[in-house]
Amino acid sequence: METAIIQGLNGITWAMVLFLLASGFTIIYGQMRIVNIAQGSYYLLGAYAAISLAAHTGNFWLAALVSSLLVGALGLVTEFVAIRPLYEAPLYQILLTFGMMLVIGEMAKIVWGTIPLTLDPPALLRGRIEYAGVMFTRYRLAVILFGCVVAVSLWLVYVKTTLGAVLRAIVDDRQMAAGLGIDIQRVGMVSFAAGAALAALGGIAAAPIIAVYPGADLEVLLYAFAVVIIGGAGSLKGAFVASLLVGVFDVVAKGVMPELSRFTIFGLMAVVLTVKPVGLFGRG
Amino acid sequence: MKRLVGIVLVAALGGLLWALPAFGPSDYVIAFAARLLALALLAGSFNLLMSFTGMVSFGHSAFFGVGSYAVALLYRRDSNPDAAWALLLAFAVAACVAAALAPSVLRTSGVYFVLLSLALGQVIWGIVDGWRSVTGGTDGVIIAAPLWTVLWPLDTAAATLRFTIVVGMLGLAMLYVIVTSPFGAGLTGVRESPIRMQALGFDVFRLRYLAFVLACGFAGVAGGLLAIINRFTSPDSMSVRLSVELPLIVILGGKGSFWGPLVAAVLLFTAEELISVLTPMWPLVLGLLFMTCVYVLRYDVMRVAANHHLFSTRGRQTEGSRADGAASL
Repeated sequence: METAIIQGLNGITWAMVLFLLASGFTIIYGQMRIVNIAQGSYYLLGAYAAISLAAHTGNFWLAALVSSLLVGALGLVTEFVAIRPLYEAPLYQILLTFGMMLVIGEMAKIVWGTIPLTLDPPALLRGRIEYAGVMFTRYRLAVILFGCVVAVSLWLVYVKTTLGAVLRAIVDDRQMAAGLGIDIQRVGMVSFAAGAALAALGGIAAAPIIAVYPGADLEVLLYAFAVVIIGGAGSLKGAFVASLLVGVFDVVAKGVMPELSRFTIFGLMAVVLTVKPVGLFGRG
Repeated sequence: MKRLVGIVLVAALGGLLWALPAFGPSDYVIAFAARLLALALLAGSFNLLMSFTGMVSFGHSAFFGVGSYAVALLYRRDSNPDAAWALLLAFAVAACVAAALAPSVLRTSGVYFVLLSLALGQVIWGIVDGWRSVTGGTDGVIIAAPLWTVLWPLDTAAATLRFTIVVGMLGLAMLYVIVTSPFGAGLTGVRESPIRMQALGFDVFRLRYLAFVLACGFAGVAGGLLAIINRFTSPDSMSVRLSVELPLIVILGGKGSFWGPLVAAVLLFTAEELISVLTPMWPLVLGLLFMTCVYVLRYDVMRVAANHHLFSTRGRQTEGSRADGAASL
């Protein structure tokens, strides 16, 4: 029983990392109709930058903040320089962001080497806590909490603010939103930066739990895709629900049959798509 | 007339390749020429999807890899059948895997098709990479058996190259026949306007399904050839990089052209080989190449300059169909 609970909590922790990554992807897709293959690279860069910054400053929180801001700024620049000339050319956007993934991956290999690196959790979150016979690390619990806080804040922004209304309008009908005087390019630029920063946060949150290494970008990208496919592209609610599904399912499957764990994710995707081809919360 | 010129050119090229070993290059060069031919067949099979059916799959290399594993694992057993049979098996296995997985992929369109095909390719890679007891994991599978065919034994690099020429030319010829057949015309119709095809009474899903299964089958043959040439296969044969190189190749060679992408494949993979010898950072160069190509060729998408491409002969789309195409991807 204890192991089952711990496995479940591990699954939820992983789910929160996936949510940070996939929510960024889904925001970018929802606001800009761009499939950002480089999303995994932002995850990788966020984690690597935080590791370097933490090594220099010795402060986890500062490193996490600066790293996510840096990656967000990189997203802003990328959108302006690279993505903007390619609006309405989806295939070319995919190829471009794939090229970016290769370039960033190789650069990261040059800067940070090929040995898997990890980040030390902050002093406040070291050690374990025990409740009713279940031992669980503080850090993982903090990741779960953080993921939920981000999810709730995003939800509040989307539902309660004027900015949220603008964002939802663009998801629903880009042309109409533009016609109403919304500057969809500027919103897109900010969304791209926010999406990149969210992916970086995912990488930072994951870095103390699972190591960062060359190739991790592609690996997490697959999970982000699974989440987006299951939850529905462009839907934040879908990203949250699907992250929980994929995260828990993945951890359990890895425990039961490690060799074929990837197939179970595809099985999950196939089942969902058979029932609803646009994902659980997707709309056309 | 144009077709005749094409046939003569291809025959001349095949003859030249056939005679290549006579000029006394090293086995490395001969094997490399054979690999290029196998990769050209892969590009041709992908082109059937992208140019002639309008489906841009980002997981095509998975079926290439499935074919190569089908052949390699066949020879790991104690049997040693004719290599041609092994390639037929590669076709069958890749096509069957595609036939089983296609329904869930082809039901989707647009962004879901992109994500799902890429994810599917990665999943197949993950299974092969992880299932050590059967596939040997990252170590791959070595073919130790002395290969042979009914034509000649594949005991030298030259013999393997000539076998590859026979199979590769046959495969490409079959793809050409498919593309120019009434069935191919149906596929082009699906690419141009699925809705109108449906209105004309065609079963759009069935056409797409058949094209997908056929293309994956040919990719399997190409993969099987690669395994035979290298006497080895590994999960690298189904890397996502290869999957995404394929659409780049088609764009470089000219979408809608049959021959252009084959030439582009030869050029790109030659560049890959040459640059990989010089530096381990080929992915960096490839990434920059991706970004450059996208910028140079993006005007085609915006219909400013349609003649940017090498060899673009067919598939000039009307404005309306361009809009359809943009919406479907």
